[in-house]
Amino acid sequence: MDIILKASNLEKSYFNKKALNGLNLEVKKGRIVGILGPNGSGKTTFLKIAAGILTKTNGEILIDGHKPGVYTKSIVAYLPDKEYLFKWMKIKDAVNFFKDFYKDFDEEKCKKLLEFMNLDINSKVKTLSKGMAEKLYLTLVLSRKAKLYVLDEPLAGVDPTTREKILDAILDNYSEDSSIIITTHLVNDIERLFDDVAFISEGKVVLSGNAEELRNEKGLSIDQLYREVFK
Amino acid sequence: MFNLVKYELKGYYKDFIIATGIIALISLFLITRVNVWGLQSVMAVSFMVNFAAAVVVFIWNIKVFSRDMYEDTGYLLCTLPQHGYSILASKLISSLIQALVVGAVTMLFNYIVFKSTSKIDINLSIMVTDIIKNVNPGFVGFMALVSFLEYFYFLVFIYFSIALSKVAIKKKKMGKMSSFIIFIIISIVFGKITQFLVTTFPQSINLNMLSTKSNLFVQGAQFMPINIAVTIFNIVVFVLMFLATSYIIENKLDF
Repeated sequence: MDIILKASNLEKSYFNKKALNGLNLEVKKGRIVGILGPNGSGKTTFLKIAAGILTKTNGEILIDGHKPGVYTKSIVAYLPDKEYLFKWMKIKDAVNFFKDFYKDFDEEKCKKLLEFMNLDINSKVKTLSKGMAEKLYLTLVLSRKAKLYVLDEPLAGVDPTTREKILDAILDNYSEDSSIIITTHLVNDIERLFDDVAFISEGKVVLSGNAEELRNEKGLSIDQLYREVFK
Repeated sequence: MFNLVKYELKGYYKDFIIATGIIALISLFLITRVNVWGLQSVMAVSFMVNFAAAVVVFIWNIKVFSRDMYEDTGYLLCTLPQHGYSILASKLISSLIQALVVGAVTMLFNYIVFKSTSKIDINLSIMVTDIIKNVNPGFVGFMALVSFLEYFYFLVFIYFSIALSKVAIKKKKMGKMSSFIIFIIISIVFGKITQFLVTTFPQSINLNMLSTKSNLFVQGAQFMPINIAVTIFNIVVFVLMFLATSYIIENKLDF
C-alpha cells in the first residue's frame, strides 16, 4: 500500500525544549489515522510541520514523496486549531477565497456541506460562535479533494450534537483516495473513525498500529487504551 | 498573485472609504474657512491632512505584511500553495495601490482647495502644456519609475526586517520591537555604505531635466546627477532583500 506521509526521526526543538523527539510515523493512502496524546505531547507540532507552517529541526518528513512546500500545500488540507480567516470576510468570501487558491476545491460539495452544517453564506465570519466557526472551517477543508487532510482537534469546544454532525461530515466526505490525520482529546467520541492510531508522548510515538487489531489484541477500546498508555 | 492582491484590497475597502471620506470632508470644510482663517492657515491645515493621510497609508502598508506574520491569518496565507515571491509581490502591489489611491484622492482635494482659495487663476490644461513643453519626457518617465522602485525598496526593507525578526524572535511583542531595531541597524549600515560609495566612486550620470524645446534657462540646475555606484548598490540590495524575504516566507516561518 502506498504511503502518503512518512516521518523519520522527526525533531523539533524550541531552545532547550524538544517538542518532537525522533518521531517516526507512516500514514498509508486511504486510511484515517488518529494521533493521540496528552497536552504538550507534540501532536500539533507534528501537524504544523506536515502542513508546512513550522520548520523541523532534524529528521525528515515526506508527503507524497515531497518535502513540505508549495506542492505539498496543494495536496494537504489543513484544519488548524485557530480562527484564521480574515475578520472582514463573510462565509461566501471565505468560500471564494478557497475556490480561488485551491484547484481541488469543489464548490458544489461546499454548498452541500454548508447546508448540512446549517451555515448561511451571508453570515460574517467574526459573528460566528465557536461551534459554528468550527463547522465552517471544517466545511472549507473537507470541500477540497485533497490527498491528505490534517485535522487538529476538529471537535474542540463544540457541543455533542455538533460533534456528531462534524464526525458524519468527515465520514461522508472522505474518499478512499485520500487519507486523514486527526488529533483529539475526545477519543471516545471519535474512535469509530480511526483505521490506525498512534499514541504520542514527549514527542515520539510510543504505540501505534491498526485500531481494530489493537482493540482485539489488548481487549480494550482505543479510549481505554489511551487511558492505560497515559495514566 | 493577483488573487492575493484582490483579497488584500478587499479587506481594506472600508478603510479606503473612511480615509478618503475624511479627506474630502476636511477639504470641503477648509474651503468654507478661507475667509475666516485666512489663506495661510487653510493651506497649513491642508498640509497637515496630507501628512496624516501619508501616515495612515504607511501604517496600512506595514500592517499588510505584519498582520500575517503575527496574527492567526498567517495560517491562512502560509498554507496556500503559493511561492514566497508571489506572496511578497502581492503585498508590495497592494501597498502601492493603497498609496496611489489615497495619494490621488489627496492631490485631487488639494487641487480643489487651492483652486477655490487661490486668487491666482490656475488653468490646468495650460499648466500641463507648459510642463510637457519644458520638461524632458524621458526624465519624467525615469523619475516615475524611480519613485515606484524607491517605494518598493523602502517597503521591502521594512518587510525584510519584520520577516527576519519573526524568524529570530518568536514572541510577538519582542518580535515587533526587534524588527524596528533590525530596520534601524540596517539603515545605519546601508547609510554608511552609501556614503563610502559616494566618496570612493563619485562617477555619476547627469540627467537633463529640461526638454530640448524648452526655452527656460536654469543655470546649473537643469541636470540631476545619479551616482552610478550607489544606484547599482541599491538595485543589488533590493534584489537580495526581495529574495531573502521571499525565502523566509516560503521556508523559514514558524507559526
